[in-house]
Amino acid sequence: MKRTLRPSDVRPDPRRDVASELRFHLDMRTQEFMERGMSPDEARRAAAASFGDVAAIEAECRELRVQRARERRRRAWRWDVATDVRYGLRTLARSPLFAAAAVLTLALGIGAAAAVFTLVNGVLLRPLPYADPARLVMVWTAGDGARGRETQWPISVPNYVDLKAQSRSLASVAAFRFWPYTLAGDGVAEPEMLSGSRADPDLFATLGVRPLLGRGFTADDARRGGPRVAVIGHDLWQRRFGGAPDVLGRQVTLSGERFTIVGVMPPHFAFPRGAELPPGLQFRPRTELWTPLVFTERELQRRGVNNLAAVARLRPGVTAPQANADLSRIARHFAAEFPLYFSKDMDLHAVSLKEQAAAPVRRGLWLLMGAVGLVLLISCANVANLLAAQAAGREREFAIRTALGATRRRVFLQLVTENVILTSAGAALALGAAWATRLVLARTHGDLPRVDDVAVDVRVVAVTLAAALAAGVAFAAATALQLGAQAGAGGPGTRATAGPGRRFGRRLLVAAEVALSLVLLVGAGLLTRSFVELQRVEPGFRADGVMSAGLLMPIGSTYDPARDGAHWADFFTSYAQRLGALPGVEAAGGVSSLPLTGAVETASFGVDGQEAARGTPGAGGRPQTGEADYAVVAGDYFRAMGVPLVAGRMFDSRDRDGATPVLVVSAAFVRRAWPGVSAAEALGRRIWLGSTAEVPHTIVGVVGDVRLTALDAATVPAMYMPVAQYPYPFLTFVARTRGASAATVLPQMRAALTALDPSMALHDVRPLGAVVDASLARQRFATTLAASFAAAALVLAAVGLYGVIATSVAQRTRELGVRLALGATPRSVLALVLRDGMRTTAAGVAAGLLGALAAARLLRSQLFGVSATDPAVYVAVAVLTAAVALAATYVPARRATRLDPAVTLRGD
Amino acid sequence: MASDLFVGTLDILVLKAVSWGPRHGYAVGRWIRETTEDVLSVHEGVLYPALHRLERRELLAEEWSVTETGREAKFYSLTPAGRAHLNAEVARWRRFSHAVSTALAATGA
Repeated sequence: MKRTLRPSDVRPDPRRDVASELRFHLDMRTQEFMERGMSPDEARRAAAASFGDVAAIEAECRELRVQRARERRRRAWRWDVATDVRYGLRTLARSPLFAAAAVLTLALGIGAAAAVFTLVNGVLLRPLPYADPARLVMVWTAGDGARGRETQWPISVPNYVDLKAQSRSLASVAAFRFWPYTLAGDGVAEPEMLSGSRADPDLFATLGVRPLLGRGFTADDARRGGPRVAVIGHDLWQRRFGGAPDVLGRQVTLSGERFTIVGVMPPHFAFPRGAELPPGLQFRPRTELWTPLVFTERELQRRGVNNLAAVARLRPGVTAPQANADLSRIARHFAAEFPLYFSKDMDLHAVSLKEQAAAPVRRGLWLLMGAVGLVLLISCANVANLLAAQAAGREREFAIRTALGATRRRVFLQLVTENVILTSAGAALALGAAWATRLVLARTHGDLPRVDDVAVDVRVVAVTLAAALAAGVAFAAATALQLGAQAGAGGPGTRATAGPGRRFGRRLLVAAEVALSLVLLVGAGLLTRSFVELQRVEPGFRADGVMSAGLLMPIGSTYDPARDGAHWADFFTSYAQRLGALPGVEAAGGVSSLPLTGAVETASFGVDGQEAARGTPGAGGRPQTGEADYAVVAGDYFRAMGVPLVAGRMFDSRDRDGATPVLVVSAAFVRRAWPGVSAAEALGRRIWLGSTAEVPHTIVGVVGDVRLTALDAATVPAMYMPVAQYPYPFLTFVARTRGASAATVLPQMRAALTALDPSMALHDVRPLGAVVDASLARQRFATTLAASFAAAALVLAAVGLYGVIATSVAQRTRELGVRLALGATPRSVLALVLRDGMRTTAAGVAAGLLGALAAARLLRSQLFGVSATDPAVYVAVAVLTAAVALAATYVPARRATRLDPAVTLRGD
Repeated sequence: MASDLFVGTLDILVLKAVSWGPRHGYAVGRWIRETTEDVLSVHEGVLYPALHRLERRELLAEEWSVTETGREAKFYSLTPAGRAHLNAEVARWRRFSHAVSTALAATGA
């Protein structure tokens, strides 16, 4: 047996303790000397002299006392905790069912919360995995773009070059653009499409990341005609080169040209990661190959083609507003010098890289966090209910402990320990769920920014444990209050019928659970309806029976459309013709940016003949009218997609290089360029494009509007150019089958390509329907999660309600027995119990509806095609909740009707 | 060093002083003075840090109580651990002093 008594308390004030002890000694000694015949004065001096340095000894003793008190307090505390933990474990072991139910409920609540917090932490809170990431910004052209509210788009090559030379606030800036490469098999492996990036040599230095092996790029690498070098990512190094250290200096064939590998980046480095940048730039989730960005003479002239993303590092001490002021200065310079391409209401703007990634999903993630917080609250309410039921059976125990001298504080600490054991067990399971988040994400969701950065870190563990601790203390407080309230009501030994006070408390908890789960259900209902509406949106094309596949022309380090463009156009055109001639194919064509993939390019345009009206002088008299999305098409693209021709004609063999430049535009383009003019009237009108300065483009056809960026985005003016006149190196081909499923045509598409050039391969092969689905991935993710949380909440609330009613029936056995004995019909007893449950439910539903109305306002920006106050959703949810509550009440109510009055009356 | 010897020795003497029952510091000091013929009397103040240290190690227990003359004083008594410690220390001291005495009594190498 160990010590069973607590170490005794000490006199609280060490100073007084020591002083009076020493005074006693000196007084006694003085008296002793006086008895030997000394005068009182002499005796006191003698006593002090024989004692030594009184002050020093007093100080030493006092210090010892202080240390001793500290040691004993600590030991007493440890002793209390150890006892409480042992006692708590024993208590829980005595009711294993209760313990398991409580731990599992908590694990569900805390686990869901921890999982979502892991997500929030990774996507919104953790620093980016680059050096000093707070100083990294993205630099964009800004202004009222073609997409209405969207205000950022890429920078043109000449603007980038000027910006880099003129900026005073940026320590370094590096442009980059998406550039896919086909890595040739070289006889050992299949050719592979790699998601690459052509980047300014300063990219790695700007991010502050050094290559793991070899070197990054030098200015020399970006010279026209310079060496063809590439840096590869860690994954690619492992996958294709087996992690061989001699990979440096090795020659590889990328899109038909020989490159020398000069560097390998460290693991996890994948900048740019597509999901954290605007989708229009086409970046894939991870980039694993980098080549130097080399500008051709022609690109350096094209001030109107905005196709570069740029990341920059602010100079030390420069704030974001200062940087933006500096950029605006440069923008004004552009506007003065090149009014044609850079209007006065355009600007250059820096956005923090972290913000860039977080902004599109912040609201959604915090809403998700809120939703999961409600699930946590509901599971806590359920556990509180379980605890309340259990505490009712423990009044005796606490009364005895108090009678034996336990202070209120000790009893409370004991309760805290017991509950923290429960919640910690729940939290341990919850951390497992948080850890699994990453695995689930890696498998399902490539669309979320910063998925790579989602991990269980110190913050996740700390927040989870803090939540568990807080819940434990709250439960203990609730139980203590309940016991305190009971203390006066009657001692142990009285009959165990619950007083109205406690019944009310438990009903309040359950009503709150019903209300909270109703809020969640309304949110999930609104999101689901919104998702359904979204799927009903007409995309402007018909996706069924269409196969899509990417095709990339070999382009090495010297990207030169002037030299290679004719070849690309010929190749693409003949491939489209071959596809179109296949027996199973109705129509086939290619496009530079497939709708709903996020791939978008924009160009500014001017309407010919409006210079006088708009009064813009000079610069060839070509005023800027606006920005429009553009796509280069090949073959029978519009028919393959099912995009209707509204007026005029589609492209054909007449539209070759050297002939009159032509455009097909969308109906929205006509509305934007010539308000009030019909599609037919727009034919033959001319458009100036910033990109090709020589001659205006003539409109030969008008097609229907297509949702280019997203189903829920506004319709944007669109222009289409023929690939023969606007050379473009990678197109996505679409082939419409004659009624068969999309996949059936794929082997034929592959064979047709091999017949043209056996060294080339299709990539990103998928039915167009899958493309549409993928564009809704984010909404599907949110809707699925919200629906699961709401379902979990409803089940928890139903369990809570069941628990309360069942306990209540058990406690009212006697009363119900009397009623039955006095002639009440089972039917009336059933009604009595049901009414009891439904009153609680009704209160919860009413409060929940009000709460949902308030909460749904936060959801408004996430909804599409459904109002946040959509009555159908509210009514359906209220009915569902009431039905589930009724079912949860019915089971114990039925039990009440089967009571045997004779047995119950003998019971007490 | 003499002072080191004294610290260790003092602890044994203090424990011995309270081995017949609770005593306050003054009584402990007087017992040591009388039984050791005033060897310690020069600075009897050192007694108190020793008492506190022993109490902190839980070899002594303390209690405020009233003396025969009606004054409040702090009484120290031996805990079970203190008694065991005293016995062990006394045995050790005997062995030590016997060894030293034997050595000092030796007459040649």
